[in-house]
Amino acid sequence: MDEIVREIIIVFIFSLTLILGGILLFIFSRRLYRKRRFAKLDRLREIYTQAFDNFIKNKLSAEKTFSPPKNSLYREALEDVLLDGLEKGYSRDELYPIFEKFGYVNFYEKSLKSRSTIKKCIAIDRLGKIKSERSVDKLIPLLKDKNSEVVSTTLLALSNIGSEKALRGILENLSSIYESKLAAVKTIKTSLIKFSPNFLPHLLEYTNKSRDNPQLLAIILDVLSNFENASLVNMALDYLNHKDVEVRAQALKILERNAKYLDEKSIDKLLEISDDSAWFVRLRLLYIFDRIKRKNTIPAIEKLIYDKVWQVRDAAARVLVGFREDALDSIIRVLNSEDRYAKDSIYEALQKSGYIETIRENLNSTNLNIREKCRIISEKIYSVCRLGFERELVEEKESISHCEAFKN
Amino acid sequence: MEFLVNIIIVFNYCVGIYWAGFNIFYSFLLAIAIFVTFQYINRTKYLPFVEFETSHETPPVSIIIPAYNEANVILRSVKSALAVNYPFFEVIVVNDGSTDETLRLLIDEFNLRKIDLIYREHIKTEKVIAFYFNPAIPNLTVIDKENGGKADALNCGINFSHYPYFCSVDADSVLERDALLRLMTPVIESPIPVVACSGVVRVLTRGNKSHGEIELPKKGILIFQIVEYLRAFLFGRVGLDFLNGILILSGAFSMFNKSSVIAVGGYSRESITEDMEIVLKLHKYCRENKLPYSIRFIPDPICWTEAPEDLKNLSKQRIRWHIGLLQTLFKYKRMTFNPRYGTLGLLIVPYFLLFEAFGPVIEFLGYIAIPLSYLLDIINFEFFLLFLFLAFIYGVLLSVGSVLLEEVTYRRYPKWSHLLKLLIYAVLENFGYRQINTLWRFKAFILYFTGYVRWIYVKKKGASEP
Repeated sequence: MDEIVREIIIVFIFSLTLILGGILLFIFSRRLYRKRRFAKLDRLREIYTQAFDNFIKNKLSAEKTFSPPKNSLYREALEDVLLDGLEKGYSRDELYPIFEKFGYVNFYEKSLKSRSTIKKCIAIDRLGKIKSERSVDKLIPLLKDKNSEVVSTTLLALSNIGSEKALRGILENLSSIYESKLAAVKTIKTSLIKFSPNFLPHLLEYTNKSRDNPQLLAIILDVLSNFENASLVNMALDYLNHKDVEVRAQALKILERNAKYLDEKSIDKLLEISDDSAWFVRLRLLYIFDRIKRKNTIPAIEKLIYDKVWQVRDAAARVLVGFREDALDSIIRVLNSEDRYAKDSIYEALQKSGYIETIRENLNSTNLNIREKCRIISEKIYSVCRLGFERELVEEKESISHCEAFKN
Repeated sequence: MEFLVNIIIVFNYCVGIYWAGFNIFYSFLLAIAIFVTFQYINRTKYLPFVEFETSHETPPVSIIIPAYNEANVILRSVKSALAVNYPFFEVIVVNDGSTDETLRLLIDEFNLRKIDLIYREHIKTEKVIAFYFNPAIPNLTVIDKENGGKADALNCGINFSHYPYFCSVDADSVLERDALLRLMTPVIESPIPVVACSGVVRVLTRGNKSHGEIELPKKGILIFQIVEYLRAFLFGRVGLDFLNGILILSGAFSMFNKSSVIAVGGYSRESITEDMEIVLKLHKYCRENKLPYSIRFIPDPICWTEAPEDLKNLSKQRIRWHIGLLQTLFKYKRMTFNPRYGTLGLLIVPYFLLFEAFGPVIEFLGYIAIPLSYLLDIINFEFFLLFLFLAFIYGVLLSVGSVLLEEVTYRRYPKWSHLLKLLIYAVLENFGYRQINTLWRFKAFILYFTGYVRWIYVKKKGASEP
């Protein structure tokens, strides 16, 4: 028995020593190999960068400027330089033919058939970065892949290509991608947002198709909220009464983005939904009121300061204070109310916005009306300072002098 | 005498089986870690960090920095947090009743003014004294509160935070510019909600940077810790992440979904290692409520944190960690071998209990039993040496495996001299450093079972940035 145990231990020691030796050999040889490789790669990148600058400045042909890559290292160096050029904003029409001529597009399209998810995804990603429009037909079927990484990478690659065909391909498969949960909603949105505003009609058409699917509709509306276009306003106003709360919220997001196109009729429609059942709809409404700064919205904002949800109260206070002199009457009314939370929200908004300094300055204003209102507000603040604002204030010089400033 | 010999023989066999089981699991973790890490490195070629850098879909994050007497290091940490490359974030520093110049330094450096803000106590905390703010740095707020411990300070930051995710960062930690973006990208991309995740933490020391390059520290004790951190993060946690069994996310740098943390009542003030306790709590909550979730470790993003530079402080740290481990595992002992918690209950928690928690006891007694066996002629000299050599070789293999992972991931020590030094220390740690750690953890075991549970303060020196 001892003999067996002894032999087992020896075998283990021997095996572990071999593995250890293998790891050490791997570490050292990998370092050496990569050091040489990257040194060579850096040199090639420098050569290709000079050729690229020459190509751009002198408008030479690709054949005259770039020598065909001899091996994978040359290909990698040239690809890095060209992709860098695309990222810096050089014309895709100028650079794409070079990618095609030197076989990058063919190579990556072949790799799309690879069984390795990583190789596939690298290929998808590169075709997207190269902006290979011809590859769109090969990429679209990958949106039906069972692997979430492949689907996510394909979405982003198609958005990088940015063609009309790519967008239509995504929209046609959007429902199945969403149902299968193979891509996160944020990835879907990030990819759709990257398409040009020229393709808005496609997105608008899709909203009509997905009226019966509120989740998808909300996603598209959220995407549309990133575009500024007057034609979106009427569409968004139509969705304000949708039964799905997320759809209503995203419609408001569109209106927030396109606030400058809102007319009085639109604002009246907005005021009608100021008591929506969902707090984040009311919150979105406040963001719009903040943008448009119309006096007729002040009563609705004032009402929302008494909202039961603190996020809405906070936002309402901030928006109200943003109206400055136009909202002084409302501010006074809130400070005279019994609602402690509403008052606290106003105090916080006054401080964070810095408007409290303006109130202090207005104590010497020549406009008697404003001076009087600011005096009332400052008295309120002073009395709160003495009694304690939500919790006992530390008796520091700062806070006392702050209160002292509002004394008569 | 015969009885003693029999006891020792039985114990030796138990140690042998225990040691085999432990190392089989560790080898399994190492193999997984190597495989996953190579895969991850390839994945970074197409992961969309750049897309999310400017996207409105990238969720905003609150970076919470709890601070107690961190005057030496706090400014460095806050500046690195403010400099992160991330579209929408806020930085909340919670001064937990410091008795040094921590608060004054922050006020002076960032020109802060006292301001009255509403504090909503979703989670009960010690009293908040004041808020400090500068409109010129609108995403920085400093909260001054009465002392309540790190967990309490974090809860205070959570109460105040405005965003759906928060990232807890230690006051002595320095984030790399892309750390938050790299940490959040898998969160954004995951179809399953990620309730918590963390990244790699490395040892920051004085003289970390020389002529623009990172240097290894001169002190051996720090290099030992660097090797240890490599093993813990690049090997241990990567492997556990693959098994969906992350139980510990480093408090130095981890990200959480705020509503999930509030739902479980926030960080526990009674726990010494609140970072482990919160993770177990989240696991328990999500599984019991049958919520789809994941808790991830990403081998990519980097945070640099200080490590103790002398044995006294190192021992305090290790004893605290081990007491915290025991405390947390026993608090959630019902999860052990409980099929209700899936792989977590059947494999991961038992592994931590049997090998991580009780391991030092077995190891310590083994250090006594094996030489005693030799002295009592139970084992002969040759066998004794063979076993010792096997244990040594295996220990070296694990450490060298970790150095391999550092080579293939973000290689922060690029020089040949760094590599040689790390490898030498990977060997040397088996001659004394491991053993002293075992002794400390054994001590922690005794302290825990005799009822001693107290936070032990580790002194910070304020090293330079990486």
